[in-house]
Amino acid sequence: MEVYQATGMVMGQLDVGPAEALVRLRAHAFANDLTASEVAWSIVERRLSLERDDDWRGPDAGRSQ
Amino acid sequence: MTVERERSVTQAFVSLSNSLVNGFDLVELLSGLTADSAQLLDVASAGLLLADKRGVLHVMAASSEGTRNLELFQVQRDDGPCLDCYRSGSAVSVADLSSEAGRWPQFVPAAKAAGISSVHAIPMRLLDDVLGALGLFGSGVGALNEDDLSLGQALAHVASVALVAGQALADKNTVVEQLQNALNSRVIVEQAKGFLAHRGALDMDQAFARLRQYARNHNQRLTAVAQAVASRELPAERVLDTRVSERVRAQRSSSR
Repeated sequence: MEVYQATGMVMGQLDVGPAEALVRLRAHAFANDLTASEVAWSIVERRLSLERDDDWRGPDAGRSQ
Repeated sequence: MTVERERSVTQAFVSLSNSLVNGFDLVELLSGLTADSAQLLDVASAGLLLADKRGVLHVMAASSEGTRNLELFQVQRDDGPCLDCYRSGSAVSVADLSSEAGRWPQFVPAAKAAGISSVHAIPMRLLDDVLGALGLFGSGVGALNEDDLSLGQALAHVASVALVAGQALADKNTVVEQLQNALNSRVIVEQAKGFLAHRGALDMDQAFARLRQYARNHNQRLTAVAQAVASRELPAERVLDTRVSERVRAQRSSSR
């Protein structure tokens, strides 16, 4: 359940939809060798806030190039 | 039973049965069940586990975030009285958790750390199926009296019937599909809570309270409001602004 709550918080932090929020949460977990659940707790307990990344153009960004 | 309490008990059953007749939002109904249980019975808090179609338990509702975490802990560690209750289909009563550390080596220390000393788990049953378990958590040591236990079981029974009430209307839906739908709406409600918690700098309990208040004041289903918040159709500010909610309610009651 905390993953869903954290997804909602990331949606608010980054102004993105639920699918991208979950991808960003999972990406952070993968990059830092954590589980999605661990990252979710950090977000829900406000120890972690995912930053905006303006270079990030979504999962399909490379396709049109 | 005091007059005050009798009125609250009546109110709880009236609202459960109203929802059966008028249609209802499962997540809201089950959240109401845990809130009513915590308020009416001599316990500190209540939580509800329901099984999905594969028999995997999920936390459906809890009267507080701390209790939600304690229910989640039982599911994740596969250890605790609510799981035993679901598996056996009969009530599990523990007046003093300290004496049961051997039975639930992981749950007991976690419950103690959360300030819980006694647990009563009541099965949610329908005919031969066990749908889940209602967990009642006490901060003090002691057994729940007979009246409270049967009241808790009665609330759980009515909620069990409510879970399958939709089935009679659309017989394609099986009991498990109903539960699956409820679990899916729970996801959306949790997302909306997170979103509101961030935008309003609230904790999850407060965010849920605002969500429920907005749904009640505007006479909408909880899941519909959560969906609108998550999809940004409904601005978070409108849900967070308690003054607006109060005004709508005042208009409603004055127009009656």
